[in-house]
Amino acid sequence: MKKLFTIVLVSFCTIASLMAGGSKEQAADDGALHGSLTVATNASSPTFEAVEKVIELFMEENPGVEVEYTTYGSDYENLMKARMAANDLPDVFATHGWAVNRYAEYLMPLNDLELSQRISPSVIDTVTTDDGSIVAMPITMEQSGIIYNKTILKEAGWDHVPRTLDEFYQCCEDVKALGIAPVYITGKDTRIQANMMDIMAVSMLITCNDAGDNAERLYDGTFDWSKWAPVSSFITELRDRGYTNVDATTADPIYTQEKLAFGEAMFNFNNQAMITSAWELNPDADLSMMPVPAFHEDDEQIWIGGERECYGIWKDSPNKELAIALLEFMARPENAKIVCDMAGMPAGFIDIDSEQKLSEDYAQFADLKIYPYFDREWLPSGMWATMRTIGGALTAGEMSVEDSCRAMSDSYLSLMSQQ
Amino acid sequence: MAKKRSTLGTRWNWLKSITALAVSVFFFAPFYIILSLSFKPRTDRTSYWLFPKEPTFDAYAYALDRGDIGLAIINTLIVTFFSVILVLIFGAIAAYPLSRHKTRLNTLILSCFVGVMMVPPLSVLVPIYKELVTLGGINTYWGIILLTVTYSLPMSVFMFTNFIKSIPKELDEAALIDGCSQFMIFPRIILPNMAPVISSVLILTSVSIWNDYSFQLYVLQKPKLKTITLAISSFFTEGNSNMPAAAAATVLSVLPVAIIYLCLQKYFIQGTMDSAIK
Repeated sequence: MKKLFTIVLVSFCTIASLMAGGSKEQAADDGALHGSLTVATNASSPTFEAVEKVIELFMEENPGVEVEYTTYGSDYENLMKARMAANDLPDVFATHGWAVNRYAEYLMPLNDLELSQRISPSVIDTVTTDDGSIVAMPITMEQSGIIYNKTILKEAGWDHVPRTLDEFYQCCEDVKALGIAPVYITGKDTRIQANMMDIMAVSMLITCNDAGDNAERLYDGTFDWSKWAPVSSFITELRDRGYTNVDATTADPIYTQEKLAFGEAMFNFNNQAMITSAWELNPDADLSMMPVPAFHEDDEQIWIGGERECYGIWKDSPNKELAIALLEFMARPENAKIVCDMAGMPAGFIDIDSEQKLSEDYAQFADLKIYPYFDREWLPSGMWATMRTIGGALTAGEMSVEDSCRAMSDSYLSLMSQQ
Repeated sequence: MAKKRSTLGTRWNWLKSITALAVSVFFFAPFYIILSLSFKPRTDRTSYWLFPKEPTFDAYAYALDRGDIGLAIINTLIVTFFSVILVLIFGAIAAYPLSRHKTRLNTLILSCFVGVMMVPPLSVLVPIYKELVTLGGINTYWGIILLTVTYSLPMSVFMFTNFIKSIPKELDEAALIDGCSQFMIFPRIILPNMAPVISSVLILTSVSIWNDYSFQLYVLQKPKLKTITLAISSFFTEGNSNMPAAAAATVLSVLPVAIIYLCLQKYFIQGTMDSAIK
């Protein structure tokens, strides 16, 4: 009995001692910064390592500050939703494209900081709320379309990237003849199908010549969802014509990096970070990014973009002074350049001269406009989940295009009524 | 006739051995793949079934250095050890009166314990998370231990109650006649007889806590508090994966559980059977 009692006592004492510690302070009596900060992101390698390096430099410059920088990868969104519900957010956190639509009410305006004057005009709107508050700082920005392999493109007999949707299908046919999967889809995680629709929907519903007043109707809730059919059909066409990998419904996204690195897939709907990841495995992988194909022959091609590695400060953070110091440090041209160079992403600031492998390829399409992702701009928050559901069902042949339009309509009307 | 019977018996034994071997190979295969993968460089694209010709410890070095798997093992040991101790103590103490005093209230309490086991823990995540934030339990060991103990107790109470029911009440009466006080019956008479079920609960609870991911993800958000499952998951992010490092981390994290299980498996099997029989 005595032993049992001792064990219990020791257990409680140890737990109590483990509870102690972890105070946050930012006393600045000696002018230097002191305290601790938590910084959270969903970034993967090499972006994570790049930001981590900059944070280490910050800690070297401010020995009294300890920054805990961590990534939650694909769990990040769920974790942040729980933390928003509890109003308990990290001091500084990545907004992953949702700075305005999801996180704005939790973020501190950065308009008074010098860094806000340097944010690139092509990305500033995505971090600015309707009342003009700049709520996040984009270190890198996204300029995405479709990842492709330049060597396979040449082998398939193409000297230019497909300009229209019809050319894209033809290119897929030619690549298929080489015995290579034209479009690599990883259906185990339906994010990729949702992303495909998110990108193609802008071209098919917003920027095409017959778009009419689609954008306005999406804003005011009167959109005719039968017009969504071409977007869903894009996935069913790829499936029916055999332009996807054979395991499209079950493939795990963790293999995308490998498939792209070793030339086993031609096209993939992801951002530049995936190309940089593939180069980690094979630095010679001949990968690049092409703009989104035009829906009709006479339409313009477009880029999809917005903020990428972008950080905001929690408005209720007890360590605002430290958080501001960190953001200002990260925004310094030499530090932002480190992130852009290592991550292989364009800078979110106007004065960063970043050298990247893809710069030449991007330069060919410099005159194309950059549009935001469809769901971030034209859909109410929450539609991403619906797009994932229908994307997965369309790939697996469990849902017709008409049913997918109805599902989108139902979800859209339901979410609009809650706004 | 006897010779024929002996031949049949030998054949039957052979068949049993071959079946056992086949089943063992089937279950060992995933471990072999993990082991083989952990010795491969990241760029090795040969089949997972092929052991690398030039094994490398790079993945282990990466797992220990970048993945901080050593710290993760220590964190997991702390969470598991204290959670299991508390589950065993409170579970056993709660189970004794529930099994010995069959009142309506006790039956209701036991039903509640069983009922709680049916509630998916993540379905009440947000209110629990909010509560922990209010209590200051996020990013603390006691926070995750409290949560883990809460969700592990119903099963331990259920198993302990069933087991104590199988211990004859006459033992309690004999102890009382011999001068043992009512309070000392449990530690002196009942507890020593509970070794098999204690090892059962210990193994089931510790394995479940060791492998937990969801609660630890939400409660332990600081990198220095990462447990094994969180450390391994950090090798898989959106668009990037490091399979050899994840495999190496898995090998390192499986070892302690495997050793404990092998040491206690006799009690585990016996305890599971005993606690199933009333």
